[in-house]
Amino acid sequence: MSLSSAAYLVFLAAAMLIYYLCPGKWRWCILLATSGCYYVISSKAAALYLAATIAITWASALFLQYQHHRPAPDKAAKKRQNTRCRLILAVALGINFATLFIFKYLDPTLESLGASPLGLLLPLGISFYIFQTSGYLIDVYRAKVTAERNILKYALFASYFPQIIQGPIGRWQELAPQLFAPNRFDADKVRAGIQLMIWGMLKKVFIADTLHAAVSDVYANYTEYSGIAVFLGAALYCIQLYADFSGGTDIVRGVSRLFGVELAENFQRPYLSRSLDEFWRRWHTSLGEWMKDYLFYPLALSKWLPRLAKKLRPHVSPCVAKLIVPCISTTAVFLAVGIWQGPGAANIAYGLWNGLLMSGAMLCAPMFDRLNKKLHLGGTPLNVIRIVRTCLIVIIGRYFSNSDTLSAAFGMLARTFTLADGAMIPLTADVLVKAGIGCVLLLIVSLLCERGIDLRAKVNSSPTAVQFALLFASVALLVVFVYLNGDYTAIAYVYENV
Amino acid sequence: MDELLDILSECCPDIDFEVENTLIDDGILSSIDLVTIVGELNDAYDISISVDDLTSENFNSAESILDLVLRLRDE
Repeated sequence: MSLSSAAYLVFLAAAMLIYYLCPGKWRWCILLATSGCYYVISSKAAALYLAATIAITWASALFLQYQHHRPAPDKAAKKRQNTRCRLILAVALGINFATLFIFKYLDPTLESLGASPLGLLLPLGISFYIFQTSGYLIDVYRAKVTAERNILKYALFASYFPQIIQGPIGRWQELAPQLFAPNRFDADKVRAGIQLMIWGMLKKVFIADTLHAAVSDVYANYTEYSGIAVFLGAALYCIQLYADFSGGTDIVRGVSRLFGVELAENFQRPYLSRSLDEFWRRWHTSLGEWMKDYLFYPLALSKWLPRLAKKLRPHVSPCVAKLIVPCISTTAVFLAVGIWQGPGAANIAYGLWNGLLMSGAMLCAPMFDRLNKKLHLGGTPLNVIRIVRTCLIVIIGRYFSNSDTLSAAFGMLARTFTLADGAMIPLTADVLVKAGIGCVLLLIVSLLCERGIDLRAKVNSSPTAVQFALLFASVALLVVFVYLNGDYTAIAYVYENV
Repeated sequence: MDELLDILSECCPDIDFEVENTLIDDGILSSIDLVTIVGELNDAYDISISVDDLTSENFNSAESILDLVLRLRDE
């Protein structure tokens, strides 16, 4: 059931009606039933895997907590207890990530080895619920949260229907209290939810879906296109991906607001970042935070990595020495992000591209600062240069992340850098007008938000006639272009099947 | 405190550690800054700062970092 389909809107309206008619203390049960129905309707065969993940992680968390609270009379007993806890966590995480590996990477790995694939279907939202439940397990292990005793409540946390397709990856501490609260109908929240949903749909329909065909064609048949067309294809893919993923997240967050549940913001105008580091703090932030808390810090503060850094210290300058640990940890994290993107060497290369560049930027930071001072660069011109530089780095990264193979990515790069001859990108007048208007609107909104202007507050404080006109215009645009347009085909969300 | 301020300033020269007291809450310290500082503190004071210690209470200001260092040295 697509997030922008009429069926989804009807499903949503029915769920809302039942939710708010139900007594407060049972409302979370309605959310659980709705989440279950949504998952079964969308992906019946995979519901069993979701249920198994829920059961395993729920039981493991309770067992971990039980071990934590067992009295330990002496140091030796405490040590044994800690070892047991580590073992439980390792086994539970091992099962979780083995499941993810089997469904996401086993068939492509078998194919690449020349063996016949098993034909496994990727369960809907598996990356998101595996990461969310794994984060919960680690938090219980670190005694940051108390394990939930009620499996049904835990099941709601793991399967909450608005976010299961494409995140954001939630944390128990933030999500659970909202899910189980008897949220009352709040007209302001519902209005804010509807506004966010419409904004997300506009991004998805007018930019992402409109650019999809041309971008896909460039990536699939890059040998026929000129070097400039290939570059434009990758640049447009960046815009398409942002509109698709952030638009989808807006819809998800809007839907969640209808039930009084606020989800984490996943995007903060990433293409206005002045460095790659900043870009990754603004792009898919819930994954970034997850990686930071559960992979980057444990790696950087592990025993072996600082030990390795100490061994390397005598061979490098003091400035480089103190950055060894952050550089190795950063590269490892981005390698994991690349693998998370999907199977194949191109995704690994994508991770390495980001990780190594960020490490390089850390090491070269003093040199860049000196250069900027020498050139008397500062203020807005320097910021513009930095934003353009970041966008170029991101665009080159997307040569890898959207290519089927590593050789295709390098082939595209070669065409771009040799300015190869070939066809121009196939953008029809219709595509140019629709995507162009969408992109200009998105840019204006982004720049205003970047300046700290609260657009939603401005819209809501404007005269009712203006509010109504804006709402009518947005809905009319969607109805005309989506629901009444025979030519429109809804494109699946890019991150729906990761 | 002066020694600690020297270490912190060497790791992040652009941050005024004598003034700032919302280093984590306001995102002044990035995760990379934090890890660099932790590495230097572990070496300088022969302590072992763990992932669980990476909280805003422990790293929001130079004073709170000093408290953490002293506490871990006593353990």
